[in-house]
Amino acid sequence: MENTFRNIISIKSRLIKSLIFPFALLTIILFIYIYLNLQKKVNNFFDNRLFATAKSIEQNIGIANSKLFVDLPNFSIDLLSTHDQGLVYYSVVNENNELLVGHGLLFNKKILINLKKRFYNLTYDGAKLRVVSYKTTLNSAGKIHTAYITIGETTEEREENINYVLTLMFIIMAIVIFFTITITIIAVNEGLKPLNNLKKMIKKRDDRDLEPLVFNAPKELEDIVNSINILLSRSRDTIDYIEQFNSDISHQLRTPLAEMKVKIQLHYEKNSEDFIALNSLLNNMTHITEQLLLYAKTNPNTINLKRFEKRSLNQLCKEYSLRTAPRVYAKGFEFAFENLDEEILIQTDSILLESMMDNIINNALHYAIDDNGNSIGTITLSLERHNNTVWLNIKDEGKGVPKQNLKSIFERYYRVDSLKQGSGLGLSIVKQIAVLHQAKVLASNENGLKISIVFDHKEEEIN
Amino acid sequence: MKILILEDNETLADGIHKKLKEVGFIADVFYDGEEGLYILETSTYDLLILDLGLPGIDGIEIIKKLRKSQQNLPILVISARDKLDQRILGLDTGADDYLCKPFEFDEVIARVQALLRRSNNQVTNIIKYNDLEYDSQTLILLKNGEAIDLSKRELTIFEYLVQNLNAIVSKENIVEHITTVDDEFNPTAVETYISRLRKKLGSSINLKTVRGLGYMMS
Repeated sequence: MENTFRNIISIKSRLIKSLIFPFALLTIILFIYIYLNLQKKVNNFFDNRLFATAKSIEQNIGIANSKLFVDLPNFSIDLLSTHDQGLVYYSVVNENNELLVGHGLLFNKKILINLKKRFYNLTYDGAKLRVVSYKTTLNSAGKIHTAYITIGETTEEREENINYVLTLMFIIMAIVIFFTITITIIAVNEGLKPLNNLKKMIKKRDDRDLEPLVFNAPKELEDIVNSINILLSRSRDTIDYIEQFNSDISHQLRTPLAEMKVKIQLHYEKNSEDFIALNSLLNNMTHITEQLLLYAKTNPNTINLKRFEKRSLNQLCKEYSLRTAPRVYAKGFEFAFENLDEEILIQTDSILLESMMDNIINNALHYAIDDNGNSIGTITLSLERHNNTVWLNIKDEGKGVPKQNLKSIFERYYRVDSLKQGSGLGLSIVKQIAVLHQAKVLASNENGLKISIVFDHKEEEIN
Repeated sequence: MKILILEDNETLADGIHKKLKEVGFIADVFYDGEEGLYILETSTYDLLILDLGLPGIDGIEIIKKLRKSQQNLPILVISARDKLDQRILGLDTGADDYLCKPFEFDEVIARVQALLRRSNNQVTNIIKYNDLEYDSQTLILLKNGEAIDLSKRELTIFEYLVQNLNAIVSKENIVEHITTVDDEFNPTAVETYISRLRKKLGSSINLKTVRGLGYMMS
């Protein structure tokens, strides 16, 4: 199921994308619009200045002997030729295209067909110019004289101004985009805070914890949290129901078995093969029933975590050993307990832990026998620390299990010796209970079979 | 020894009754909780075998009531529910011992005898074990009628081990049992006393050392 959701874009990315892209696009459009307008304004300003210069030339045009002439004072000529930045070119020609003053070939009459004034770009003498040509008329003795005034300036100054505006715009745009992104991310994070808090809370919980989520949910999450809590409550009810159901089944199955057992025991005849067989079958049936019930009761999906509490593993193992050793001796084995000096506290359900150890011990009692059926050696329950793990080992001194079968012994219905009676559930129950304790199970041969339950437990630093 | 059996399943109740009589106990059977409680209030028994799921008044209520009036009456609970089930039902019975159905008669008899032994130690001074007989009041230990010379501490340890027959007692338990608050006693000295007991009592006792746990007399 996890993979199904892996490729879906996160809400955060989605929000950031949906907010930043339109903002960025809007900023860019605004930037282009402002830039174009400013460029137009700058051009207009320079064009107007250029036209004003042309007008000032017009004032110096006169008529003498029915001919146009231009009388530009020396300082005006200097002013026209020198400029803050770049060069200025000018010309005044009459209707016959004769140059009255200025630079020749600057003006082409075609430029002003049907126009009185025109601004245009021109390359003159290798220089790029912005030019205005202007047509003016003078009246003398009833005769109209036409003069064409042209003035052009190189574009450095206006380009510099436009570049300055462009740079300023870029800086403003960068600042606006930076703040847009920052504010968007902060706003998205702030908006998603309750969702993140809920995520953290769920992540922190044990998968098996079915207690309701206590979370101050904002309106948008209220329904989700309520739904989760309803689901959790239903799961709890289901688990309680299964527990109760298993308990009732235990009662219903054990009572007739007990009755059968009593009847057989009351009428037992030592020499009757039928009675011996019947008793053996009944014992086996009882054992299988018990193991099936225990298997159902220790299913990790239907266990109630509220029964887990912090307990000393050392103390539980010692108390268990004290209770169990007499039973082991009664079967003809020796028993030993090896404790750890360090106290190990674990989250456990002591009854389940006891059932787990019982199943390993029963397995040892069943299999650690010689060919004649005699019990072999000592059963040792020990606690060991290996770095950040604590091992609960139960070791017998029997024949062990063939190496290739070691991994299979925790599988349901697996039996090392299929000729022997048994449910085949004992060690799978052990594994189930270990899983409930978030521990691992291991099996190895060390002069007998050694079953280890490995709990994660950090080694405390010794200063 | 007089035993009361309270069990609503007649097959089981009559079976236990028959077996107890065979072993030499006197036993009464009742199949109903209210009747059983009435008889317990009006008669004297040495032990009660009680099923938890009784009609009338259930086993838990009976235990609660008994613990108010007859605190010392040993109670052996028999139930078709195991420890995991009982925990689900919230049953902390306060009984002295518990046996899950189905059971072997031998197990029932062994539990009854163990409970009675524990209970009787409070009223009688004589303890019998194999060919040994110990009087805890006069501190005399006899083997086949002949007195055996043991020190006071050896006798106390012997008595303690016999009282906990087939159970493991730790060195710490022994030290706690044989010393007062003011005594200074090294737990390793227990090993010396155990060794002396084995030497002096020989095959009369079956005393095992259980590594990591303590000693067990069986």
